[in-house]
Order: sequence, then C-alpha cells, then structure tokens
Amino acid sequence: MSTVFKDRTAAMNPARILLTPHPMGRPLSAPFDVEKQRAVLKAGLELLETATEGGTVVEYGEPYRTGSFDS
Amino acid sequence: MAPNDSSNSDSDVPAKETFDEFRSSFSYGSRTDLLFKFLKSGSEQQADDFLKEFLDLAGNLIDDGDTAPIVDVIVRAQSAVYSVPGNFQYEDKPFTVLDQPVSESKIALLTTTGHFAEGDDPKPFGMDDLTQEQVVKMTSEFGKADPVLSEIPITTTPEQTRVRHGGYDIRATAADRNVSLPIDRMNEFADEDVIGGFANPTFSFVGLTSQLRLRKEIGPAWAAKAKAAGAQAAVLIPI
Repeated sequence: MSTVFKDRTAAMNPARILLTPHPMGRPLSAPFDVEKQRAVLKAGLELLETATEGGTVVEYGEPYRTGSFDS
Repeated sequence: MAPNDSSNSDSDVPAKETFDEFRSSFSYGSRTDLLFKFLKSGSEQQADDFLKEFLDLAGNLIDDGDTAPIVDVIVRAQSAVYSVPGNFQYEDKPFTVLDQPVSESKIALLTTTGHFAEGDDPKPFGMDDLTQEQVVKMTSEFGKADPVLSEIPITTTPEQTRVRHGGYDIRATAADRNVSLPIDRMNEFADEDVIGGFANPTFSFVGLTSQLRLRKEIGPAWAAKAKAAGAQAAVLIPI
C-alpha cells in the first residue's frame, strides 16, 4: 500500500506490509507501468517468505514513475 | 475566490471565501477532488505550503517536463496529513509462517478498491448502477454500512471490470485495474510459476465501510471464502 498511510497502518501491526512511495490510489504503479506492477507485486510476495515476525514493515525503494506506458 | 462587486447592495455581495473554506472545498465540497482532499485535513499552513510548492513545480514542469517533483510533493503532503496513527492500534502482532514456498502456494487477492465485474453490481443500499459521482456524495452512508464483497472471476477481462469508490481518486485504476487490482499480473505469475496458483475468484470491496463490523464479523467469513477457494496465503491491497 502507499507509504502515505505508513504510521496509521504500522500501528495496526499487520503481519507484513510493503509500502510504496506512491500517491494515494496508486499502490502498485501508474496505469500500464507493467514492469513496476510486477516488481512491486513480487516484492510483496517475497515478504511471505522473508518476514520472520508480525508487524514487519518494508518500504519499497523505487519512486513512482509517470510517463506514457503502452496500454 | 468569489469576486466582490462593490456596485451591488450588501445583500447581493457574495461573501468572500476564506482560505480555509477554499482548501476545505476540495474534500466533498464545491471543488471535490479526491486526490487533493487532504488539503482540508491538515493545517491551513500545510495547505498554503503545499499549494505554493505545487504551483512552483507546475511552472517548472512546463519547461522541463519532469513530473517526479510533482508526484513527490503530493506524496509528502498526503503523508503529512494521513501518516499518523488512526483509531485502530493493536498490541498483538498476528503472524503465520508460510508452510511452503510462494512458488508452490495458491495465493488469493483481496482489495479495498471497490472493483466489481460487469453484470455483478454489488448494489450498495439496494441501488443499481450508482455512478462514481453519486457515491462520492454518499461517503457518510458508506462509512456506517456493512461492506459488500464482490467476487471477480480471475478470467474477467479489463473491459468487464468496473470500479466505484467514494473515498479515493479512481482515475488511475479506472484506466488500468492493475494499478490496485493486479489480476493480470497475478495470472502472469501463475503461468510463470512465480506463484503456485491464483485463487479464483479474486475479491474486492469498498473499504470505506463500518470498520468494527468488518473486523469482528464480516472479515472472518471472507477469509473462510478465500480458504474455500484453496488459498494458502493472500495479498491484501488496501487503497
């Protein structure tokens, strides 16, 4: 989900959270940025294997990309 | 700002709009824009600082075409307002170890984005074919009501996918559902054996809903549905 809600979400202590530095409403990417969608989703799935305790918060490092992506 | 025509009588003179009224109008007011509704939630100074920087960067954008600073200032402003502990804070940290690799696990997808399949309108309050504009005006009603879970078959095409949610700017995900409902990416991952399988159907609901009922009564029933679909783990995407 978007890092915009970081403290609010972390306070709930869900098992694993991946935060993306994206505007609200665009948690994976800009429209049609397939490469970013795959990368973010893979990073989230990896947490299923790598997290070792509840409340694990990971911040995705790459910024939101804009531009004309192929639709 | 509303103009002030000094030739009118006092009763005809439109009241001058204060800055506080102006910034508040973006949040379910005369200038509703859900990307910028945060302007109402922070302080007047925060809104002032944001608008000054935003307009300065918009000026730069004309010449350099670089949108990254614009995105950054929006994220920073939204974070300043929203990234504070809310009403729900818990001490316990539930955690379950995945028993097998992701590549051997069937994964469910649940989002709070308000997506549904064409022909399967969740009909909030019994009303069919509500528009985005209509639900934006009904946020207080949604906040008190029970959520309705939409089951979206994973074979649903983008053209058959609808989205409607009064709490956030849906423009990006209306253009491409994978912005927040990554059905196409999950299907690809299943085909490529990145995941062991994609649980069918996928699930979505409007997260702007009665939170206590969702947590205590409705959520557990939904988790059971995902398990019944064979899910061994789930990706949850709150908007």
